[in-house]
Amino acid sequence: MISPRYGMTGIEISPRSVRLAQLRFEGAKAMLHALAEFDRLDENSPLEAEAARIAGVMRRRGFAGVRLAVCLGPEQVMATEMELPPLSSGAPVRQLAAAELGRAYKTDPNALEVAVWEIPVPARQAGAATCMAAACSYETSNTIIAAFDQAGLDVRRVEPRETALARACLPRLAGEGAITLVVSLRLRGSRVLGVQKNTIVLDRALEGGDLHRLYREAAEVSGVESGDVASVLSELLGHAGVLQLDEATRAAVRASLDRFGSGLIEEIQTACAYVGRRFGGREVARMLITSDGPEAEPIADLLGAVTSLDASACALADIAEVPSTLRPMAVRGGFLAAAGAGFARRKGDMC
Amino acid sequence: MLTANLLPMARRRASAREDRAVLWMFVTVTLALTLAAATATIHMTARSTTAEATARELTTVQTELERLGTLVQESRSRAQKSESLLAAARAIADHPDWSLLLNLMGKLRGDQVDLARIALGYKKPDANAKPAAKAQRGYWVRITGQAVDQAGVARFAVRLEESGLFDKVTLTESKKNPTAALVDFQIDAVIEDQSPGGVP
Repeated sequence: MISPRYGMTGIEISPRSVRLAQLRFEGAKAMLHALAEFDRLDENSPLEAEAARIAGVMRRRGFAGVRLAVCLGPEQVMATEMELPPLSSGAPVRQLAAAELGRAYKTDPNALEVAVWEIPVPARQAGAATCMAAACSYETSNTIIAAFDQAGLDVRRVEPRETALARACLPRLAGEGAITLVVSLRLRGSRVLGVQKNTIVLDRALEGGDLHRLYREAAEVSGVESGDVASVLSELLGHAGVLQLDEATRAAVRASLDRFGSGLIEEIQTACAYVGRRFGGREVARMLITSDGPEAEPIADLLGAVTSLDASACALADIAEVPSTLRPMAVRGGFLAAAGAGFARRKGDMC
Repeated sequence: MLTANLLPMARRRASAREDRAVLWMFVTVTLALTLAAATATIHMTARSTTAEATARELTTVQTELERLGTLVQESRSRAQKSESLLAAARAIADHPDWSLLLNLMGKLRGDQVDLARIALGYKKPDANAKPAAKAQRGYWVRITGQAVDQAGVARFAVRLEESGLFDKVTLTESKKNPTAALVDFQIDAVIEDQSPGGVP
């Protein structure tokens, strides 16, 4: 019998809610171990207060260990594409990237922790490589570390939400050399990522893709509170629900959903065209839709039908075995980035 | 590049140090436990080996003891048989040749004495005698008979004493027999055994 190893607890703190997910591994098999989601005290609640609540939830919900991997929100990450000497050149690439980011974001480059990776595109000049650089200021990371330290938790990783999400989608990516578009639908700040092999080669905002637009419109046409729209959609899509919607409401919400999906088509086509142009005619082979709500599947169906891409929703059940007790929460969506943050790939990432 | 850890490098190094410390602690504890278990096993094995060896040795000694006991028993019975044989042989071999004594008596009695009975036996050691004397053995000889007169008895006693065979000659009884007009007598003599083994 193989004794399970537990991944770190991945945490995503958005303006409205906190999501936690932890996987456990038995051999090569990943299983969802624990899951939790709760609303923040308010959008500007101090992190110390949220950390104390997170520690309490982790104790009560059976999370193993105290090691955390924290997803950074877009406002906490400085990221840009830049021309740098190749990583293999031995040049101080990280320092150069920090200096560039410091200049771009008007901050002290010595107070930045930088991650740099090369994008496989032809460089504009000889002896240079196109790189993606992402940085987090020590002030931000130390605030997170101190808040969780105070709550008795041990922060072992802070990383951009996008890399955590892309890592979570690894089992569903297209084959080596092919590019997969990962569409991340969020209440605010939806993005589209291009992932090739294990590298993010594209990261751009998805204009018109924020879910709050869908929820607002669905609330208007259905007459339900905007906060309940996710539940309406969930019930509409066949998941468990108690709202007992009438047919007219169902049709109205469905029409809103279709309009929202159609609004994404142009953005997706633009991203595909950009990828084709940037990567020497290489086309997008697959599209994965992830969402903070339950709407990923119908939108994937819609986008797949229109763009002729291999489009599908990507959820927790695609990367790990989900026990029946956690399934109702898992199907609501939104845990993929948190699970990806704690998705252990190395022994040191285990609890 | 799907792992972009933006944790400050100092924190990451501290975490790595902590992990290493935990790992080493685990390795050390595991090693210590393994060594302890191995030592205990070796010790137990050695103890059981020693115990087994001792048990084996004990069994061997017991077997040897039994064998020796049997040998001793056999030797004892053989010795008893030998002793019996020896005693029988001695009884035969050590018996004096009393025919010489009888011949001598015949010569010493002369014409005036008739011997009625000669009795002899082992002399009993004197209870008051010294241990050396106790060990000394001999024979008593009692001679009864008739003589023509008292003088004949006396002469016969003197001849016995002068023969040198007896160490002591005592005329214990001498009385006239009115019916036969003869004198009945009884002479007790002693032959002391001077040999070291007490054998006559």
